[in-house]
Formats: sequence, structure tokens, C-alpha cells
Amino acid sequence: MKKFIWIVLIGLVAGGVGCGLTQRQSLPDFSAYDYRDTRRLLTLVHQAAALIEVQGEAAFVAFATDTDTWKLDNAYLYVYAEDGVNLFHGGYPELVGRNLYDFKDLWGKKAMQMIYQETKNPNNPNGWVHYLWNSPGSLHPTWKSSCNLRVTMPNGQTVVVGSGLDASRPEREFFRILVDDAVRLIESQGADALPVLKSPESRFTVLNSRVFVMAMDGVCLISPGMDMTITDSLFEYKDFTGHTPLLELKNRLEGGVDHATVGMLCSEHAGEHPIKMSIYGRVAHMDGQPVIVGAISELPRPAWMK
Amino acid sequence: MGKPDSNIIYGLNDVPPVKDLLLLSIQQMLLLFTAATFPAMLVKEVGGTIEEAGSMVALTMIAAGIGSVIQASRNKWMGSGYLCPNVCGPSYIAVSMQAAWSGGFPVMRGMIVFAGVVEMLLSGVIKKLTFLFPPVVVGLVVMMVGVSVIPVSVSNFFGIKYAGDSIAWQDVTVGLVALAVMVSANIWGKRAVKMFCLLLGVLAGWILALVIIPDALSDMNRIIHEPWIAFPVHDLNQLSLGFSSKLIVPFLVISLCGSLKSFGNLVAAQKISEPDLKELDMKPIGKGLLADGFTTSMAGLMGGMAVDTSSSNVGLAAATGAVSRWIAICAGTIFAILGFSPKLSTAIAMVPGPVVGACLLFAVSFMIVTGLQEMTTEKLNERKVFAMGIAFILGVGTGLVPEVFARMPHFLRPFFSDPLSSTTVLAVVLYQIFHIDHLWRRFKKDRPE
Repeated sequence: MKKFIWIVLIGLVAGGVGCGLTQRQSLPDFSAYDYRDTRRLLTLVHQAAALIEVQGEAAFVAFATDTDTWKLDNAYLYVYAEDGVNLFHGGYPELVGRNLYDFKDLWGKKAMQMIYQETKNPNNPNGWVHYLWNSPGSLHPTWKSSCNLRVTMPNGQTVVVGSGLDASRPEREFFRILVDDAVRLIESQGADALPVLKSPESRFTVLNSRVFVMAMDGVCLISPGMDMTITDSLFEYKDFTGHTPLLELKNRLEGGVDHATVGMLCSEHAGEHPIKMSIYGRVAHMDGQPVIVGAISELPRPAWMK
Repeated sequence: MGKPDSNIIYGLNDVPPVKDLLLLSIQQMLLLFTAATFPAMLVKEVGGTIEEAGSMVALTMIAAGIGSVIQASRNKWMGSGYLCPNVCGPSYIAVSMQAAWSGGFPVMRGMIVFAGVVEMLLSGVIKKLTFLFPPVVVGLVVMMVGVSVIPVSVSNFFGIKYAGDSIAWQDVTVGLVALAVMVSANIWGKRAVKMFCLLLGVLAGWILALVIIPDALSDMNRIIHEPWIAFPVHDLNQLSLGFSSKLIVPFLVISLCGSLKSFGNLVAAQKISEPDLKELDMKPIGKGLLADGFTTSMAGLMGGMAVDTSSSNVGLAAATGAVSRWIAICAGTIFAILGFSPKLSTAIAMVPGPVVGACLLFAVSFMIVTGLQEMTTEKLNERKVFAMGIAFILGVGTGLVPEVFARMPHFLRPFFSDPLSSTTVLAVVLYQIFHIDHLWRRFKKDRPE
């Protein structure tokens, strides 16, 4: 009996080792992402892009038939031609052949066109695009975050392969990308960039948050929340603990760092379980004047923590 | 499974042979590492630098190591003399974060010193409360010490880091194999195999994880860049202290909860180490709480995070039958020394989550069963059944349906914030209420004519 048990245990270890050795494949570093669902999605899309690059359209057959490998319990693959025509759809095959180039989300964001732009954005190497939609068959809108990669097939045709997560959770990396892009936009367009950043149709309003801009004296140029003047200076904003996080952000950025991250606790419901939030910010020069550009995101909560 | 209190291989004051002592200490130390990354998580979330995170981890390890030695050494002033080592206290994370956000790390350190002083003051009171803890209450408290570790152990066992994450088959396989090796070695293993069952399980699970979990191997690459030896204090500002009157209440509350938790751990350590004791000996427990408070204050003064006694280490001692306090002294010394070696401490901190979860499940099983056994050593009548039953239901309810208790009046929230604290307080109060007629009779009998 004892021998049998030890043989089974050693067999399990050996089997796992063998299985692991056969499945190992090199992938980019996804350590900037906190949630496992996001890293699984990135792995799926990168592996799909690698297969398309080698097999071309034949890969679509594999995607459709081997769903254990090419479909997650909460995500499916899609492939679009450069003109917006759907070539493969793992979730809604009836969309294959349709041109979705002008697809807009519930706030009027041109989501499909954003996908094409973002796959060329070097600051966004995984082509993240976020939009508000209701998936076919559902009546309530949810945020979807999709990862998209541009890939060239053996026949020379360029396509975009991607996949998205419904009701996605805010990764700090998403907001890093948005803030860095907003800084670049402000530095190239000056104050003309502000209406673009502020518009809900732009890519700078995502996952119930938006990029904010404030002057170095705390005057609000784009509010992180609603466009109402509550205080003269955003530096006066106090969180659940009485801390002034936006003033802290300014102080850190004045220390000469390229970017800074500040934490804060925000009251939820009746204040029984404050939510941990993070503010990522950078200094941009708008028409020669320094301004602070930032975004607020919710921090991941350890599974064991109430 | 044999009776947890009947398989002692190395008793409380036994000094194991050097080889056994070292391996048993390493085994205990592996469990101490389960909480070693909490300070890094805290620093990361409040926007601190990687250097600050590294220092905080190292200084907390050093404080916890010294604290474990003090706890196990039964000296004149403090220390329970039991194997009940210190880890970075998870219950302090939320309030420490609040302090760090509102006033920076100096305020966090100052408030940790304050919390430690409060616990030291409480230790003087607890020594005089033996009459409140009959065996049935002690058993329930010991059982709840195990129950309170369930959220951390289960989430780690399934490899779940953040709420809502998906489960991966690789994590489950690693966790199951590690647990199966530990349990099999404990049930069917002979002396050495049984004693080092956790170590064997960790090795089996870790090797498997390095092969089948891609992140486990890539994480190991981080070790290459870490130095072998480093002094954790880079700047004297790391030792500066602050204070915030606004944070007195939250730190008082958490200090009270921490004291109750440590009380439960020390009671469990006593039951496991000295099974022949007929009733609770409050003297070492009071000295243990004093040591715990002292270590918490010391951690704050040294620039680290608050520490707490470790439930899972007490459970491991029960599982292996090695309850010698020399193991805690040796493990604490190694843990403190590792605080000066980023390379070695990072390497051990890389133990995959499912393996950590398996260790905790293994150790906690013994805590729960030890508590149940203690509860049933005396006949349970209706008074005890209702006192313990209601305390258990409402106490566990704080963990199962926290939303129900979250809107309680502020003055009651400290007692309903955690299953262990809630159950302990309720069990003590209800036991006395349901025996009020006995108390009255005793009072009348003792009253002078």
C-alpha cells in the first residue's frame, strides 16, 4: 500500500514535469499586469498571432475546431482584415464577412478604428482598446478591454487578431498607457488637446475613469470626476483618511521624477469598506507651462482580504 | 490520524540533535516566509520605491526573527517559552496602509510602536483573567485560530492572488501534489519522514511548479540580480517616527484584535506543548503577549511592519510532534540573518502560492482538530452548547457575510471585524451569562455572614 502511494505521488510529479517540458513556449513579459485573466488573454492573443504568422488562414480552422486551446471560458478570438471586414469570429461566427469598420460603442467611440490605431502605437505594444457595449444577447452595458496585435500572414496580407474581456477590471498598465499618450498629445497640440482628452468619445475615458489635467497650483483643467467646481484647487481634495493625494502627487513630481504613483482610500457605499485606489501622474508642458496629467484606477484586492 | 497531542517527538524543553534541529527550523522558517512579502505589497501600493520595499521586508524579517527568539526564551521578564514564532501581521496591513497614505512611513512606524505598547499594557490585564477561559472556551479559541487562516490558505492553495482571478490547472496540480506528499509522509512516514513531511511536500511542489508554472521559473530569474549581503537601512530617515491622533482609534482596535489573536495562538501552543496541563496557565501566556507587543514596537522602531504570532507554525509543530522551543529559537535566528541576505530571502520567498497554500492547509488542519478535541474533553451541557454555538455562528458569520456586520455601530465594529476576535469575545461573555446563576450562588457562598 505504502509503495503504491509513493509510486502514485512520484508518478504525478514526473508526469507534471514531462507535461510542463512539452508545453513551454517563450512569450513576452506580462509582469506589468496584475490580474491572471489579463495575462491569460495576452497569452492567447500572442499565441494566435504566432500561429497566423506561420499558417495564415489555415490557423482560423484550428481556432474554430480546437476550442480547448483557442478559446477561454470568458474570451474568444477574432481576426479582422485592414478594411474592417471580419475574417474569423470565435464568439459570433455570423459576423464573419461583415464590415465593422464604423462600429461605435455606447458613448460613440469608434472602437474598430481605435483598434487599427492602437496596433500601431509603440506606447501600447499590446494594442489595448476599451469600449462600453452590451454583448449580443445581453441588455446591460459593460466595459470591454480588448488586446489586439497586427500580424502579416504568409501571403503578405496584414490582419489584426485580438480578444477581449467583458466586465474587465482596471489594470494599472491601462492607465499608464493612457496618461503617457495624453502627455504626448498635450505636448504636441497644447491646450487644443484638452477638448479631445475630455470627450467621452475619445480613448481617454475608460473603465469609469478618465484622464485628468491640473495646473501646478491645483487648478482643475479636466476633472477626474464630474465637471463641477467643488473646490478651488484639486490639492484640497481629501480622501477617506483625510490625506490630500493630489497635493502629494504634485510634491512627488516636483522632486524631479519622470512619473509618480500615489495611493488613496475612497469611501464606498456607507464607508464600511473603503476602496484602495492608485493615482498615476506625469508632468507635461502645455504651451510652455507645466501641468500634471494623471488617471485614477482601483487597486487589485487580495483574494483573502475583506 | 493519531491524537495531535499524543505524538510529541521533541518536547518543549528538549534540544534536538543538530541535524534535526536545523531541518526542523528550516521547515518552520518556510512557513514564516508565507507572510514575508506583505511589507513589499504594502510599499508597492502606497507608491514606495523598490528599495523601500526591500528594506521594509528585510527589517520586518529581522524584527520577526528576534521576536521569535524572545517569545521562545522563557526569561524573567517576557516570552512564553513556547514555539510560537512571529510573522509579519496581515491584520495590520490595512491600518498600516492608511497610516502610510495619510502621513507617510514615519507615521506608520510611529503608530506601530503605539500598537505594540497597547498590547504590552493589555498583557498585564489578561494574566488575571484565567477564570474566563474554561477548557471549552479555550478549545473554541484554538479552533478559531485555525479557521481564521482559511481565507489565506484556500486562496493560495488554488493560486488565486486577487479576488475574481481564474483558476489554473497547473496551480491546482502543484497544490494537490504538495499537500498529498505532506499528508502521506505524515500518515505513513516513519520518524524522520514524518517529522520533515512539510519540507518534503514543499520540495515536491516547488520542483513541479518550476516545470509546469511558467511564472515560477521566470520569477527565479530575479534572484540573479539580488546581492548576497546587504544592510537594510540605507538612510537614517528610514527610522524616523511620526504620530497621528486621528489614527489612535484604528490602531487601538487592531491592537486589541491582534492581542486576541496572539492570545489564541499562545493558548494553542500551550495545549500542544503541555497537553497534561489541566487548566490554562496564564503566566506564560501573559509573558508571551508582552513579548508580542514588545516585538511589534521593536519592529516599528527598526523601520519594519507590525508583527504577529503565527497560527500556522503552531499547527505545524502539532502536526510533526516537534514542539521544542529550541526550534523556534533556531528558526528565528535564521530568519533574522536572512534579512541581511536579499538573494537568499528572495529565493525562499519564491515558494509558489499553491505550495504555500498546501503548507497552511496542512498546518491549520491540526489547529482545528486540536481545538475540537479540547472542546470535547468535558461534557457539553445546554449552557455550553449555546454559549459556544452562538459564539461560533456569529463569529464565523463575520467572515462569511461581512456585509451584515459592516454597518454595525462604530463602537461594536472592533468586536465583529474578524471571526477569531468575535468568537473569542462572544464565547467568554456568553459563557459567563449562561452561568450567571452559578456565579450568583458562588458569590452568596463566598459573602461573609
